[in-house]
Amino acid sequence: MLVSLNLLKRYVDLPATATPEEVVAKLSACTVEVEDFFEAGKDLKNIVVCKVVKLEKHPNADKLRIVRVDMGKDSLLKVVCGGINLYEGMLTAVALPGAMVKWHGEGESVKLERTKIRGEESEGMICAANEIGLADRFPAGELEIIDLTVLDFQIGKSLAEAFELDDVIIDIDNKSITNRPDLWGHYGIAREVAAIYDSKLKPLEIEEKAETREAKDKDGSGLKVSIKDYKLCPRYLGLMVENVKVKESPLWLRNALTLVGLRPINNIVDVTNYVMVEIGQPMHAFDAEVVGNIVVRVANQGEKIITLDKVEMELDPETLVIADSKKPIAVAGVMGGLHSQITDKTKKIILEAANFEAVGVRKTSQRLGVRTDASMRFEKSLDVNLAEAAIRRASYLIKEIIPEAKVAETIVADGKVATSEETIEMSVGYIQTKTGVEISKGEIVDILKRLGFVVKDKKENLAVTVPSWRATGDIKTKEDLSEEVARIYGYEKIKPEFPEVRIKTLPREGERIVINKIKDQLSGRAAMNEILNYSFWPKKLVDDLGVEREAELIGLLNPLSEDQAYLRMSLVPGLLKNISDNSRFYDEFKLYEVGRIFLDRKGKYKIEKHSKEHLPDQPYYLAGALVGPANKEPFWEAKGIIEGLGEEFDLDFVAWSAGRNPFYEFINKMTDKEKRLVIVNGKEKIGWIGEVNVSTADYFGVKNRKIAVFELDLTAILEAKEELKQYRPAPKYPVVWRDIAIEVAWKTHWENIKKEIAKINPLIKEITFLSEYDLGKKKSLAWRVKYQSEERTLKDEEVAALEAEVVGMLESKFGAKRR
Amino acid sequence: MVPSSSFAEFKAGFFPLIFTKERINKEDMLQDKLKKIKQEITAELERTRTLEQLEELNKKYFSRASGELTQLVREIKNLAEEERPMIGKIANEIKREAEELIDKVRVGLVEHSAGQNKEKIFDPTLPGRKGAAGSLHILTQIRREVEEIMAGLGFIVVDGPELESEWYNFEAVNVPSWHPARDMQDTFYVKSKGKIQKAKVGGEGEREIDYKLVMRTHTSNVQVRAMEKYGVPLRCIVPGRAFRNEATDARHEHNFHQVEGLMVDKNISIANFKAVLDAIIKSILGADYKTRIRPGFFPFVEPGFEVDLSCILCQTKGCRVCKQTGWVEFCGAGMVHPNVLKAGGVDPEKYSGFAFGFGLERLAMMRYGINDIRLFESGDLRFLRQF
Repeated sequence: MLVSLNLLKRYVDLPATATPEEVVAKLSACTVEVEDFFEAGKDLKNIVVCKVVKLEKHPNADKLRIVRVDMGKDSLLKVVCGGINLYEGMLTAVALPGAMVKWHGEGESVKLERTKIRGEESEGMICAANEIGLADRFPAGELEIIDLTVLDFQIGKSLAEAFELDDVIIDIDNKSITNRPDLWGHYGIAREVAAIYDSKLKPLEIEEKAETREAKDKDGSGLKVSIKDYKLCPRYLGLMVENVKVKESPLWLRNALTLVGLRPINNIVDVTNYVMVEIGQPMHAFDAEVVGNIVVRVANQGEKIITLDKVEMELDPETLVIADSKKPIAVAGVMGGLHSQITDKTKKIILEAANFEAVGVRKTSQRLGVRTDASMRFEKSLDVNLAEAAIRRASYLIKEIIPEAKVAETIVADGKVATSEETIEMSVGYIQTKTGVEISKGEIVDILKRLGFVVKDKKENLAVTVPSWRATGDIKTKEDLSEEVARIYGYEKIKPEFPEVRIKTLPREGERIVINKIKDQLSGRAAMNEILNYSFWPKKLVDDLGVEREAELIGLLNPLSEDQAYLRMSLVPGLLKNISDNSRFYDEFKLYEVGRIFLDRKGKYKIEKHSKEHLPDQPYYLAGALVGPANKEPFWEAKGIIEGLGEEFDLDFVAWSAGRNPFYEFINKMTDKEKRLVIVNGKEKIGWIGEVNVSTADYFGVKNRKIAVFELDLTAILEAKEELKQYRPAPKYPVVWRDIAIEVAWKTHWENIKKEIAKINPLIKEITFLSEYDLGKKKSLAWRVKYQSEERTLKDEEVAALEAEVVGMLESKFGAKRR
Repeated sequence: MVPSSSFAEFKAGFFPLIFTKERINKEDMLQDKLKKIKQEITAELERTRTLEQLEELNKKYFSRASGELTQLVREIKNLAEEERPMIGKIANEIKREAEELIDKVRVGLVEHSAGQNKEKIFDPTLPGRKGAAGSLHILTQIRREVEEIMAGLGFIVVDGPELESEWYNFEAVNVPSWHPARDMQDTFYVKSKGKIQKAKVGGEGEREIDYKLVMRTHTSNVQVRAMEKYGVPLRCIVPGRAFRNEATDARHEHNFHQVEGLMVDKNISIANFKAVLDAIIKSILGADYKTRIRPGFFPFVEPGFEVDLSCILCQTKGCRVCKQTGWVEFCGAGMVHPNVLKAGGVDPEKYSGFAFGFGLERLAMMRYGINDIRLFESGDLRFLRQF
């Protein structure tokens, strides 16, 4: 919301020392978030009002003229100009060297310099409205310069000053006044400034004489208004104004609106908007010739209205409308109807000021997809009493700017007048404890009074009555009052003080420790780079991989784009995309991610403490991807990494049996049919490791590289009870190492050989794989065996006998031959 | 070079003692042989000029199968029983000294030969051989740092769901469905395949709540969960992912990371919050940083604060980075709203607290001069490997 400092100053006296910077600093320290503030007239620097004294032909150009202008100085200024509407005696604006202008109203502003045009010296530039950012106020044809003659400005005056643009505009963050309906107009902000500076808030000039006639006191004549739903519309006021002449507003009004970002329309609409800008109460004006008596009711199913923005809207019984006896004439709190809008021909108007219930307006505005200056205010829950203040202020202004208008002497009203005021009791001690400051009773009372609260001292407690403009849901509890006191007292004055705490047993954060251990191992020993990817999957990925057939896939209801249509159910596709993106810069690299995936099945978290319903499952997963040149086998390194983790956690591998894929079908489809294994924890299948098949790599745009991938559900590992390692003394007797190489059929798996050897004798302590060779029809396998006894030194003969036993077993069980 | 002083010692050695008795018998013969062999070894060593020659010598005298000294030692077992210990001792002594001398000669030869090859000079300025390096994501690093610091202040680290019920994400933290504050947080809603619209809630105030699921818009969803699980007094932080349904640009990201902090105890004041906040900031960013609080609106707190940090570039003097204000916005905070305490089963008349929430990305951006928030989840190794 834009706030004009000049307008603020009309309602509150500021000390002469208060600079705009200071006001802004205080507002942001005590009240709201100020996004920015700027001098309104700074774009008009070095542009002054001048009078065209003499027009001469340009000797070298037909379309240009030499203009002598008077700018209140001793001598005339010589300016070359191509404006077609120039005449002697005309008042216009001349930009002097140093001014910022937009050539022909287009492009960036440039700094004006003294120049020669077609050989003739030009000491300035006579401006068109669009060249100095005034096109909104002075619409003009092409090549027409700005004509200020009717405004009768003083010659030589700076244009900013002449237009009352020497103002400072403060841009307040709307989010910071979400809870403050009273701050959606200048008067509310002025009230805060007055409280901060301990200065007096001036009363608004309003129409005081008019009588408000409540609907229940029927007298049968004139305008009638009635409310059908007092919950959705607590208050409605109407005022008939006849004999109006709709035309452009006076300059001060147009300026005031433009300064705070509103477009002037006509004198009637401008008055309603100006009142909103002043006190935050949206208003509306109907053409009284085309509407009858006013009824506030919910719409009938299927009723339609064409709103001011010329859009036809279909209404339903959840929408509150303003209607006459025939049809809706406005969507309450959101927008007026086109049919009854104020036009040049309008002679008679009905002014409306009403209070609409916040949630209703908010829902309607959301349903219709329209957010207006009015709906933004109503949905914050406005003070019911503000409506009457608004209509009286509007009445006052109309009488001022349209003296011939005949304003009705009676304001017609329906609904309640807010009288019930909330009173909150609190102790001085409460404020002191809450703030941590020994703030005195006197000071607390003073601050609250400055903000408009009525405070009664009841010895033990203070009874604080909330003014109507804050009793809008904003101030309800003593916590709310503590904020009022603390912010005006000044947060910066509160001295930091550490809390005194009791030491307490802390729960052991097992999961975090385990995740840290895993990451340390992967980023350290395995030299992998940790990645964080989005939790979302694009629709295209889901379609292309056929994931939508997976029952546990979860979709987003309102994705921003198709790139975030689903929640990820695997970390692997993200890593494959990372590989594709990075492979332009690196040949070999290793990535991993630890993060939650989302599955539509019962998870561990409840939706509420007492509810039986659970949130969908969202386990932590770990996935890694290793990429290398086509002649390497990153599969082995990937497996080694999992084996490394297996030293810390209980992990093992089992075969990925064909036809019985333990995981999702899309994962089955992504991996090579031979190069893959299932990772188990105890008996539970918790993950897999495999090579990405060529078609999948190709889909992700990775060519001539091999990619190995692993993925594990960490749930079991994170929940496992930590098993502490037990110390074992180093063996006392020497080790004997023996290497063996055999020739064996390709189909023979190393894992089986190893298991069988281990069974032979407990003196066989370790079997370490050395190599696999291609022998054509068969393969060679080599390994090293560690023999060791815990009781004695082994004899050569003993080891030789064991070795013979191993070879014998290999021959009989696997048809192997020692090499 | 062969160290000559060693030879002198070796020659002097035990010989005077050994040769005092003049007896011609087996043991004397063996002693003689040992003496001779010792002289031979000494003499040969003096002539040894290369490592190859040294290896030959080693084999000749010490080989397990046929070494001359080895043979002599084997003969000891043929001596009379009473003679064996003395001669054995002498033999071992000779063997040990000879071996030590050979090692010294070897070292001399190795060092000598290294100095000989003047043409092939070792270049120690070649780069070392590093093992491959991995990396933790910069957000993991900075998150761990924050966790360490907060743990030091007695805050436990709590985790919670990223896909959350509307109840914990909004209602429980005092953002009812009609509240305009919901507009402040563009929310991703999740399709629920189940038909449930309302879920029954048991316990004291039995009621129905909306069964709608959202991607949590902040990690404040864990405030009430943490109070329920751990009770009060409570000090915890909740680092984790959060989501906002908004278009991305250099300053906005729909997936981001937040750290929520919560302290609930008796008589917690604004002054307490200021002190703890200051301690946290100074620990994380450095003692040069100052903090200030301003009014701010967040439904879960009352009063609510905007927390600013002094601009480190200009030390609050005003510069381009801080838009001439001297301060940069850092996080939202406030004193926990009584409704939130109530939702967590805590009596707001007895307990009070503060809460704050800041973006980890923002912290990292300020600290490392990162100018685009989208880099964090880009997976770009050119970025990630810098940290």
